[in-house]
Amino acid sequence: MATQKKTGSKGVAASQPQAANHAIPHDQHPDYIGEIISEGANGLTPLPDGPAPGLPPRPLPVPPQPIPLPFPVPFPRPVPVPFQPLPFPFPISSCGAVSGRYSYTPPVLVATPVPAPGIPVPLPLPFPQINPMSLTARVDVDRFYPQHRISIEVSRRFPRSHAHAIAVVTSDQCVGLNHRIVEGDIAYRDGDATLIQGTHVVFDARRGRGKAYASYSLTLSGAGVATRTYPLHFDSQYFDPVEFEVDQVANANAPTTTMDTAAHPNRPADLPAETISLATVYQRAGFDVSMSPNANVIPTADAGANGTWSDGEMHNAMVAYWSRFANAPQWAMWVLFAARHDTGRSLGGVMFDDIGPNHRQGTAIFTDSFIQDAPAGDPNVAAWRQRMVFWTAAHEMGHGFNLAHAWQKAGSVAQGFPGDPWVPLANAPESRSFMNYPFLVTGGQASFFSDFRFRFSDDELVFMRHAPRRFVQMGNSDWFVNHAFEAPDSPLTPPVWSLAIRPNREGNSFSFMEPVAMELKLTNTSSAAVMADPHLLEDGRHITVFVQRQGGKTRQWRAMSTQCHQEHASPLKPGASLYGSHNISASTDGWLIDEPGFYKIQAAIEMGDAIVLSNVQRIYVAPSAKAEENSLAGDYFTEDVGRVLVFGGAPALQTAMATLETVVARCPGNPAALHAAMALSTPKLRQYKFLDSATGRAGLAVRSAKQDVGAAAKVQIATLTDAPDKTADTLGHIAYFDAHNELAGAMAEAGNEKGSKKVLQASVASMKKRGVLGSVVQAAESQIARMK
Amino acid sequence: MGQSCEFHFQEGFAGEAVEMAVAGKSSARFKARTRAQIGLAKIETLQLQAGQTVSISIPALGLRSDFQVGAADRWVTVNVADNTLVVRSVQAGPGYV
Repeated sequence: MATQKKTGSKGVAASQPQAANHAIPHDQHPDYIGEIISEGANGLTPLPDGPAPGLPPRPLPVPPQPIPLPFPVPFPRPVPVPFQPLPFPFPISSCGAVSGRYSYTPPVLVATPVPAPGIPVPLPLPFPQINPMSLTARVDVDRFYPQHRISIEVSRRFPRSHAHAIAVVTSDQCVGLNHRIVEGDIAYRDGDATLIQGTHVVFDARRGRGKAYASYSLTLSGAGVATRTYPLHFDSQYFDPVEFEVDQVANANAPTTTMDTAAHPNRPADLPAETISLATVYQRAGFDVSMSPNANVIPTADAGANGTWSDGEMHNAMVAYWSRFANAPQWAMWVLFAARHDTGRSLGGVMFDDIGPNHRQGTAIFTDSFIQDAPAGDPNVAAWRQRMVFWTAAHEMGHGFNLAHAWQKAGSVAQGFPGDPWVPLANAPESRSFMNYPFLVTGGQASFFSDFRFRFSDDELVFMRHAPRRFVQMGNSDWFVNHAFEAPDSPLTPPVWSLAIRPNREGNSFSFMEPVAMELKLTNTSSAAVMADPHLLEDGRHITVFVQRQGGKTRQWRAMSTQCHQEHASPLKPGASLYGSHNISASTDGWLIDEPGFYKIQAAIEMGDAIVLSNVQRIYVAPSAKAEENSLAGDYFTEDVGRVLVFGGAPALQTAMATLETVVARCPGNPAALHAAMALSTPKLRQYKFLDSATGRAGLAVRSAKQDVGAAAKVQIATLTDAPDKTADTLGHIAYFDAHNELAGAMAEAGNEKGSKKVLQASVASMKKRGVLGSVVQAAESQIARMK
Repeated sequence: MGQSCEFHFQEGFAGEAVEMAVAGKSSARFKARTRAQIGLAKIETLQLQAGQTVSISIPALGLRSDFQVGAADRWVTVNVADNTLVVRSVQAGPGYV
């Protein structure tokens, strides 16, 4: 079966040389696909209770029946396609556009009381209604720039969870008059996968008694799960609503919110001549745009004494002047036209809102900036400027939808960007999109605009229309943060906790083989004391840490030891923090950091109902400069060596202990040797127990190795105090000072009070030098004062 | 009589310290972090003589590049790409949006 796609009229395309002063209705635009026609279909879909009608007249009339139409007004058909002879073979199937947003809400369940035996049934009370789940589908196969995707969102209320899936369309058939079947396979998932089971999606739109579509359904199947069909309700031909408010600073040029695509002679030859607006651009991107009537003119006094704008001033102006401002995610954006930014004339516009808890709500365009600088000799300077300002406004608003620049699409945290792409993307430095710089493409701006069609690229449209909505919605996910190490759904209430992960050392560079110690800091950011287990971060079982080498897979760190203890919560004052330190190089399934390169690390912890995410810490592991290190790597990066380092020694793992002795002997300059020295000597601080199986299973016995505090102290004092900063940097503050305490305790227990005191004094000196919390220093000094 | 030269630190900066030295003498030290939404980290303006060498380095990453100032150089872009400092003179003042 062959399928044709019918677009709007070509008659208004811009072969007109003169400027247009009209808007083209969407359904008459040549880029609009309002109908598909299939030849050789099996006939028209029979009416539910009658014979099949004859061939549809062309153009299709709006059915006269007073049945509720799912389409909003204006109805996008009839499509005024030019007359064409009916193709052969007959019959022909014609299907109108189906792109848009659909929803499914299951029948409401009403909880009813169950009477207890012998007790009369009470009068009906307003019991809460429970909607267990809801489903939204976005079908994207026609209208403007179809991306051939069906995305599905499912939300479950009890227990609360979300899921998102995107199917790539594999088949789109018009099998009868307004009977359209679109099929696809799921290629992307986010959230709770159990909520969207199956791998194959079928969207079915069919007419009822009249010729218009009347029923829709979505069927999920595949992967061995039961097939499920959801009846859908048509919500909108757009994928989401959005409101723009355009304000102007008094000394700025009037906002440019519309432009004439034919005003400048340098344009694509077949570009339709029309007046387009910012609303038009985003409607064609799939959004139901409304322009706020509450536009303001902001007095220049608010621009600060110097007359230019800082990001902070713009943010404050947004809070004061934007009628929709809220510290919450919403489909709304503030667009400010100001004269100039503090940066100077080189900044033409900025999505300034990457501060505070809700990013991407505000953008600014600077009318006194380089975007007014038409090239020398340009044939229509006024039109060039108007187009450039319009382009800049649409560009900055694109950032508000979380779109990156075209050459940054692949940018990731590992490369220093604030986030990762939501799916793997390739940079597109030559794309003709609102998100590329015209002056950076080959041939410069003249080349760009000669081939620019006032639209976003396909992968940008896929993101805007189908990515999980929190990635796109203003005020939701942080700027540039889309994928993998992603921001959680922004809370509607102020967060109670913040979690930081850091190496607690000057730089973020590590040596080859050096275990990476990361310090976690959980802070009560609320204004009231909250209850928390003071040892929460010391036990790895509470913490989730992800490690990703640049260009590699993300792997989860799992603590080699966890503790099962009675939870005990204590009040944590506002602003107070809990700390923990972990060697995240080695995990239960091997080494996560065992090659030179850039890594990114992020931690998460569950606090009640909330998951608190940390910053993403980027580190660099330098390549080895020494042959000894490279030759040892094979023996070093083993699970047993990882265990010895994490546990602070394990004499039973003789091969691993021998490897660490070699590291100490042959790589003394590598910080790994400091970790090794501590791990080799720590077991001697105590009568280290081991399982003796020399006489076989029957003779198994637990024995103790000889304690040798003196020998251990000699090694550890040298390790901890010869180059205290280097050792504290590589062990991490917490482990470094814990080691002092353990050593001092063992020495005191062995009768060496004087030596013990010296170790603690050295510890305090290091603490003071390294700016450790005063309360910790005081506790250590008190301990010394109590000693003889 | 020197010439004013703008160094535009653009893509690839993640908060590391950047050092600039002219003829071996330190002239600027700052931390640079690219703002992804404008593709710019910092603009540093130096008064230079044609023929002088400006050394730009990021010690934490072990990166360094030397740039010899030409008589016509007014704008210089600096980017980190593939673990390399890429320093280029450009004909017009870069713009950002």
